[in-house]
Amino acid sequence: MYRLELKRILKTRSTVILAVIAMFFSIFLALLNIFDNYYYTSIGSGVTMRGLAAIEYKRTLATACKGEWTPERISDAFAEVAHVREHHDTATDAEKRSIEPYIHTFISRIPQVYGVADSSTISPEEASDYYCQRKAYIEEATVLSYGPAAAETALKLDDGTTEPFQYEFGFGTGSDAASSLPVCLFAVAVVCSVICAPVFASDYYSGADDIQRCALYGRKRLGGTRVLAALTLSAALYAACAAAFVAITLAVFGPDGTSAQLALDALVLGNLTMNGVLLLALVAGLLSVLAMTAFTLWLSAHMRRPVAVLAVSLAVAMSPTFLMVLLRGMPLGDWLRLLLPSGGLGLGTGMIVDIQAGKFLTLGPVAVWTPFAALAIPLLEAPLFSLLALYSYTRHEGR
Amino acid sequence: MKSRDIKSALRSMPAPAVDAGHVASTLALCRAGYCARRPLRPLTVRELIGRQLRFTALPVWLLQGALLSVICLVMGVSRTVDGAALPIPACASLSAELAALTALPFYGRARRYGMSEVEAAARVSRTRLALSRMAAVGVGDVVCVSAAALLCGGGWLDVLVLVAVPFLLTSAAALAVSLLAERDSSPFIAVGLSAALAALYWTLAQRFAQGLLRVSPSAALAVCAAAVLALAWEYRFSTSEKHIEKELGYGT
Amino acid sequence: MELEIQNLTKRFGAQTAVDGVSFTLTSGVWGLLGANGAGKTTLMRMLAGILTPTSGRVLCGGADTREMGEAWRDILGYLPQNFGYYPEFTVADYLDYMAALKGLERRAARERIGELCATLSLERVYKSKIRNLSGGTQRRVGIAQALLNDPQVLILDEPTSGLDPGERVRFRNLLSEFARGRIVLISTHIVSDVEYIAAKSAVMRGGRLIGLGTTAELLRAVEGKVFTALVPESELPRAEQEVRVVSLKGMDGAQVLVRYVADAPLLRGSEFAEPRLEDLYLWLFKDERRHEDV
Repeated sequence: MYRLELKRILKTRSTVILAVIAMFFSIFLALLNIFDNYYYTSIGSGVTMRGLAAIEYKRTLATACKGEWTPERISDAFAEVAHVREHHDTATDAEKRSIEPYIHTFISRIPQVYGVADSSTISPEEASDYYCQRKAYIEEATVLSYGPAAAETALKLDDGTTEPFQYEFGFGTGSDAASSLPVCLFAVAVVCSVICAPVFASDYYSGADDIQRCALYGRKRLGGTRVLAALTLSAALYAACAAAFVAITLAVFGPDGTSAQLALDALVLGNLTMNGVLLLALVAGLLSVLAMTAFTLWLSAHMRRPVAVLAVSLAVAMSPTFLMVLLRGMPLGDWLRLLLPSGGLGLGTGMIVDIQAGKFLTLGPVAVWTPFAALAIPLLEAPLFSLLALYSYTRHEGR
Repeated sequence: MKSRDIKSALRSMPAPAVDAGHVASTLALCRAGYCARRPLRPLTVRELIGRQLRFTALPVWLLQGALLSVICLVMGVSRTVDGAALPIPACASLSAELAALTALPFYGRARRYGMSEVEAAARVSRTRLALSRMAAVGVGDVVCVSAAALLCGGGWLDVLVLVAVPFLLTSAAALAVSLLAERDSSPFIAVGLSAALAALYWTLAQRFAQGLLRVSPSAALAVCAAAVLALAWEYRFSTSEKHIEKELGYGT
Repeated sequence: MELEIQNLTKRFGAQTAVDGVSFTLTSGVWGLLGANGAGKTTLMRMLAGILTPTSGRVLCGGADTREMGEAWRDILGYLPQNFGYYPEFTVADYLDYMAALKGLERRAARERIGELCATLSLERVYKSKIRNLSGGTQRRVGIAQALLNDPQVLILDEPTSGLDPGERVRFRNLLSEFARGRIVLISTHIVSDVEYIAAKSAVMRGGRLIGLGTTAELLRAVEGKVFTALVPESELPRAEQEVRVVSLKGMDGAQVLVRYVADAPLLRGSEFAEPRLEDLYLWLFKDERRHEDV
């Protein structure tokens, strides 16, 4: 029965078309990262590069930054940059090119922990204290936003961070994959929800449900089979689209062992490289897709009209984006966003943003780092909504 | 025989004398026939559009009202100190696309609920009905798109690229899907396609706002013009004979 | 008033749905009979202006209905076979909506809706959602919309399907009254509807008109071809194989009264019976029925 149900959904023309749209979009977005890759330097006569040429140039630049960034190395880099900037008018193109790797890679991340916007205001001696300053910054930023309990949790999480940080060229440092992956996964999640919206509701609407319900296996078993088939299909489509995106991205940019603190934000807690961030984002995405699918199935089992299911499902999918904007900086925004089945995915939100931003969910003395919540909540919601869908379906009565 | 020859032959024939009595009785019959016709009450454009408001436009306006509230809230937040850090241009694009999607539940509705035949046989022709519906719903679209444009800020090029283009492209794509796809699956395909467009446009809008993506005004205008032409063709097709036959199940 | 159908044809690719149909409708009730796929609905849709004929034309009082445009649809009332409605509509909403599409002025529309609801017994369900109504009541709502603009020509496709016998009788009486000075064309499979109220009927088959006239004129085709015979129950299966059975009625003494149509009496003890339209229907469409049985 499971196989038949999978076959039934796959044979639906709209499923095939939507799957093709999702796959095409994933591939397009991965290619956009490559062909819209951009590099500009004003050294010499000024050079603008796009696409593969820009990627190769950035890869070359990054070799100068590759490896461990000890406090001494950071200090030396700052000294070199400061020297060239001080003598900018007289500095040769070769000298300017020698600091290009630092300026165009991670040095822009360093000033954040000093509470300044520009790296030129930081002396080499101050820069050598980066790792201690970072800890202080984490504590200060977290206390300010979430209170001392959260700050303590943050520092405990950060204890496991390997220092000094690593840097290398890869998908995280050489491309916009970190911002376009969530967009890609969001679109796939919406497509999965759209595919699952008519699973139950269309039979209610057409009256076919009345006939099926009278069959021996027409209730619990059919309901369970449908839920399972829909979840399988969503997981498979997600895996295929994510694999396409990641495969194309890794093929061009390569994996990235850079510490997430350098590639994303100093507030990243824990011993995470960009490879780890990618994995977490994919896992969180899968869980969110399953949660969204289960939620949509519950709506479908509950409501009579497929179009209404679609509308509500789409509204829930879009909500994290608007919540992120409307309730920015407010704990309530994060709570609401993460409690939604689509909380782990969104336009401008998602696991990578949560890792980057050092956010917490606080309830009294308890503080939970939002990436943990982004993993745990959909893990709970997926089976919960699946069971609710099954319950609603078996209890449904036709008019 | 050539028509010229026929005409000259007819001219040369003696014409019968006109009988005044015959003329009078013919006129009387014509007048009686004309007066016996039921007078056709004229339908003004205002009346046509006005009577579509309640049944077609109002539900769409309710959806658009909800969207408008969100746009206004986002606009309010964007004016605060933290507002500069928000992806406002991308939000404006997203709002424009959602505005286009608010009409989606009503595309092909007559076909889905079996109202096509009865509407086609009513006095108001399908073309006039479609145009009056478009005008009624269009009022809400104009308000939503204007709000999205205000949210976007920037110059006319920004509004064109970030608001007008996504709105028109999404409208054209959604309407095309609802016309060409099967009755039951068209809303789903349209939403899936629009979601992909929304996600794509979110990325492009952010790049455009950051200056990483340059779009020439002529290219943007060309895309808008193409989308408008596509919409016009789609509306024309939706009232065509071929489409009606397809809706009624012929030729499948 | 006259509605002249001149050589109306409709083709969809290689398939001809209506083939050169010509006849003239005059005031009164006309029946349109035919098996499924005979072309009745396509013909009606062409008359209603929903479909454009491939060739031929329809003249109303000498004017081409396609050229008349809105003026034609203003005097037309149409009820399709598949009655649809938007799911959120109540009866009131639906009739208001149709009144707007028919160009009725608001006050006149309200009065007319009130009259029709009284005539068709829709007052109690006026504020109810159509989807919650029974099939028969939904049909009455459909009939109400067809009558909204007080049409001169009323085209009804299967109007009595879903109505119980009492409702069907009331509806037939309403139509008979309405048809004075107007043209009413109904297509139906319920031949008794046509028998009771239609002055004349047209019979279609394979897109062509194969019969036209009063019931009596049409029944001449099966005069002397309708028989009844008492058959023992044990011989019934064989009898059903041999003849075109119209009806079977169980009698005393393990016997069945078989009514059948044939060129000559084929069963022992057959007697001539007075032909009815149902007999004519089965006689004319016996090939289609044979296909279905197989």
